[in-house]
Amino acid sequence: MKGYDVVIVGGGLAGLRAALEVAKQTNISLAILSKVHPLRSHSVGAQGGIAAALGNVAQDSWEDHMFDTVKGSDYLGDQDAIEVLCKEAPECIIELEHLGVLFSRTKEGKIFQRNFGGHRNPRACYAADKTGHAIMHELYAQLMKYGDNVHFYDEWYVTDLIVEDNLVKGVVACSILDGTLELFQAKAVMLATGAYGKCYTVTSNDYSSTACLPLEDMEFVQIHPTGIYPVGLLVSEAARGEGGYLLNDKGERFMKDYAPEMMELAPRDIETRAIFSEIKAGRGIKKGNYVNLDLTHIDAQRLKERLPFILEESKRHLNIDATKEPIPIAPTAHYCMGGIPTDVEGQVYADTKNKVQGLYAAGECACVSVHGANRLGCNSLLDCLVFGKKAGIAMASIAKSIDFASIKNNPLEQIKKSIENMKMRQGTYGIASLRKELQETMSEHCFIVRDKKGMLQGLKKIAELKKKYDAINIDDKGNVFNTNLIEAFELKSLLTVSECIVRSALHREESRGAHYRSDFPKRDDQTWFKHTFIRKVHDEFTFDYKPVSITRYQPEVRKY
Amino acid sequence: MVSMKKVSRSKKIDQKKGQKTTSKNIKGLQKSEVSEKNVKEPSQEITFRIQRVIQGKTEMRDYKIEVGRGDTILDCLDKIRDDLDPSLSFRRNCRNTICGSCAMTINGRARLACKEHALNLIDKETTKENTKENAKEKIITITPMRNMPVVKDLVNDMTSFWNQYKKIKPWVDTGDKPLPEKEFLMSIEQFQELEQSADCIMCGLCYADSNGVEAEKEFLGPAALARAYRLIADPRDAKQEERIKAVDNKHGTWDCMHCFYCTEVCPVDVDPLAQILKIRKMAVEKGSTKTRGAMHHLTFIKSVKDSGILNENKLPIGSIGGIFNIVGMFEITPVGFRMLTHGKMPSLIHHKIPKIEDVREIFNHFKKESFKKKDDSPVNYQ
Ligand SMILES: Cc1cc2nc3c(=O)[nH]c(=O)nc-3n(C[C@H](O)[C@H](O)[C@H](O)COP(=O)(O)OP(=O)(O)OC[C@H]3O[C@@H](n4cnc5c(N)ncnc54)[C@H](O)[C@@H]3O)c2cc1C
Ligand code: SF4
Ligand code: FES
Repeated sequence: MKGYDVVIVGGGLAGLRAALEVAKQTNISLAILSKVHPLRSHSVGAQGGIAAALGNVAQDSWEDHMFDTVKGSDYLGDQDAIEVLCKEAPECIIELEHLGVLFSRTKEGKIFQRNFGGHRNPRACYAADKTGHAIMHELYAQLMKYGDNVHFYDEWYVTDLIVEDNLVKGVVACSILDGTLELFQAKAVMLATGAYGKCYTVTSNDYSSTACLPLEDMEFVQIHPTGIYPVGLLVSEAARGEGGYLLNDKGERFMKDYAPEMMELAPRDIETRAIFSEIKAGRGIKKGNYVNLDLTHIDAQRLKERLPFILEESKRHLNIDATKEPIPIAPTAHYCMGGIPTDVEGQVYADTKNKVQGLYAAGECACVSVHGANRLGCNSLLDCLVFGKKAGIAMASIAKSIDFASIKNNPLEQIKKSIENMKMRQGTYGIASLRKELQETMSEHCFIVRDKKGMLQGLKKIAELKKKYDAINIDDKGNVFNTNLIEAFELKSLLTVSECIVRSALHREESRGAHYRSDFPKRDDQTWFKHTFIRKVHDEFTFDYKPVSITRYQPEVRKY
Repeated sequence: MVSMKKVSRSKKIDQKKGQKTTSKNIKGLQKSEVSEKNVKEPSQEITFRIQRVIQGKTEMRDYKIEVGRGDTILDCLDKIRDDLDPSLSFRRNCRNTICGSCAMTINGRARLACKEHALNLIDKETTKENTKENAKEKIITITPMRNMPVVKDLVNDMTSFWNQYKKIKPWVDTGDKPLPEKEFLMSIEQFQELEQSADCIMCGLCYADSNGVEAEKEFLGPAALARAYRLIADPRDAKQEERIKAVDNKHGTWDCMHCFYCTEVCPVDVDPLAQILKIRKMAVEKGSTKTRGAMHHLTFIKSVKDSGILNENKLPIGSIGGIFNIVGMFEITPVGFRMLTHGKMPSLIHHKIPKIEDVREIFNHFKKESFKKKDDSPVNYQ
């Protein structure tokens, strides 16, 4: 057994930001467990930018930022939390800059800011189109300063969380490198495990996905409007922020019919549904399943400076010179608004009222909720920073004020046994084929447009897949870098998460933000102005609801 | 000897038009023809010869799959693992050349699997490592990176690579500088100067193929030195002098032997060699002329300036700082002796070239140019 005052699960932006806050304090032992090396986390892939009302390029205020976020969330975001997010944003960005993050600059030498969907003012701070990379590499480097006081466990997969009597006591993790299973005792634990986009076939997301605990607002999955067709890899919204057009087969900027004011810079749920409708109406390019993202009217030099990665990406995947030809795009699964429910300090809810002592969550796996039914671009890196930092501060203070609680039931032996059993599985189904089936099911039955009939079918298929999972085959019996085994664990989590998504979506009989039901096409504030909590107890799912916090802005009709 | 085993199962995987698996990602819409680009071409059957570690034994195994024009090596590895052999291990994450996970040796060169298109390699590549016969038989070989131990299959233990990174104190250190209330101001030019070295994704490819690292395990290596330059050139950093000093030595910049491989293999164009040379130049300009590397360079320049041609006899002696460096002389004498016995000793008589003035003119020209550059350097924003 190992013991650390604070254990952080996840080395993405949320995890590293929290870690920095803990590391700054002396005499606190800290471990960061991550199933991939922190610099390989999903966060390094973030391209477009990070939002903060710095007002460097045009007049801006945190109140404007807040209003845009509330409206973007289709009013489901909690306004107390959104206020914290937007108020603290400028300070968080300046902190990053002081830590060495390289931001693109204005002529005066200030941090440059560009337009982004759903934000009325140029608010996205960025580093060309590699913003996540720029932030992550500097944060990680800063953590090196603390030497052995910050203990990184790279390539350790956390299998279980130990909570007894509503108090967190530690985690169990398995070293991917050599198969060692270890219990990490802790006074405070943070979950910063990122997203679960691998539930879908076409996804812009990577492979670091898992799940846990009661989950909030799982029905809201963001489908990003512009994935490179057909691979699904993301073309950042920055492309439209820099003035890119969306064109249909007739060469029309069709957004004029859907969001006449903001056009290509409306929030993502609206853009995605617009593209969907165009394709459905036969106006996809050559009547196919995609439309064009056109940058050719923008000065090539400017594109090279501001969007070098996108140019390189289109060249690499499609052999297209995006300064001269349009990029074919179609919507792709991208972000999960829902997740582990937390309060504004990052502490995790055990149910709609009580919290778990010592347990924190931040980043994409968490749901504060600042994104409500639809996240605005550039707000999620910010979410990681603001609430990651808060969780770090809270955990540092817990570490100083309490002692380790003893663990009553050490689950290690049992977990060891179940891993050995898993490894010995010699069934008929391969992990990859089951995962593919699951992704196809989700893409077919719970994607951009949903209805009851489809979702019931989806649930039936998931039930079948769960049965099949009991008969999976594990080819790799070894202990060293057994990705086969890890993928089996992940698939199990994906099955649970997918079921939560479909069940929550089936439950919510209205359309709001990213959740669009063709059988209930209107928003219904009377019945559904509330957060969904779904919980799995054994094999049963139960629902509960939590009211939305309104402090400033009453729900209105959402027009762009 | 590594043994060879064939996994002859070959599988056709949804590759009707030689493009990636398109899915029914939009409900209710038909699968359509994929964009008109690059898809007319039928897929080809390619053999991947992959280094495996199976029950502790290293061997090469062949896997045959159908490959389409758009498929990256990573797509192919995914297919092999998903459909033929789930026990194959390799690292990967972003699929988009930004996370640095999928570094490996492909046809003998260190590369990112998610960056290379398999069929492109088949089309154009015959290298020393990938023979004409391989190309003709449509074989692509994949082994783990060099210069680092292997954990399993294509997975390396990158501890040494990360340790070198840690050694250079890789964080921006503003030291005692007062922090401004807002951001530090930085010019667009300053940003651009840093951008290239800061683009590093820490994939380790440069380290894997570096001759310098191969020869000397203590060598900091290209990536760590590129990072060092990124910090030295950052106007916010207060430790420029210390940083230069810390790498201006044997296992720092001067262990680089100009093999150019780092620059050649870097997937994101960091050009580590250029960054190394910039640090060396800064060090010499700051008066550090006593390292063996600096003395080597200065002797070289002086020799060319004096006679228009390198005096190969003086170079080794100049590099150690003259004949009074007893230890240095002990080190180079055996080499000289071996050169003598192998008939490689240059002529003892050294002549000036005719028209030596022209060479000196070139030197003068460069001197003027470099002064000019300094004059119109951007306003100092700090
Ligand atoms: C292509 C792309 C572009 C984006 N662009 C932007 C943008 O421009 N602006 C913006 O604001 N947002 C953007 N986003 C969204 C944003 O990047 C993510 O929401 C954010 O980075 C999530 O960070 P995180 O720290 O929560 O999780 P991640 O960065 O995903 O990190 C998760 C960590 O948890 C670890 N982990 C997971 N499960 C386990 C386990 N069981 N055991 C141990 N460790 C585990 C992983 O190893 C990883 O280190 C983009 C996303 C994508 C995919
Ligand atoms: S310098 Fe280039 S090759 Fe070397 S680690 Fe960085 S990105 Fe990889
Ligand atoms: S998978 Fe991320 S760099 Fe190749």
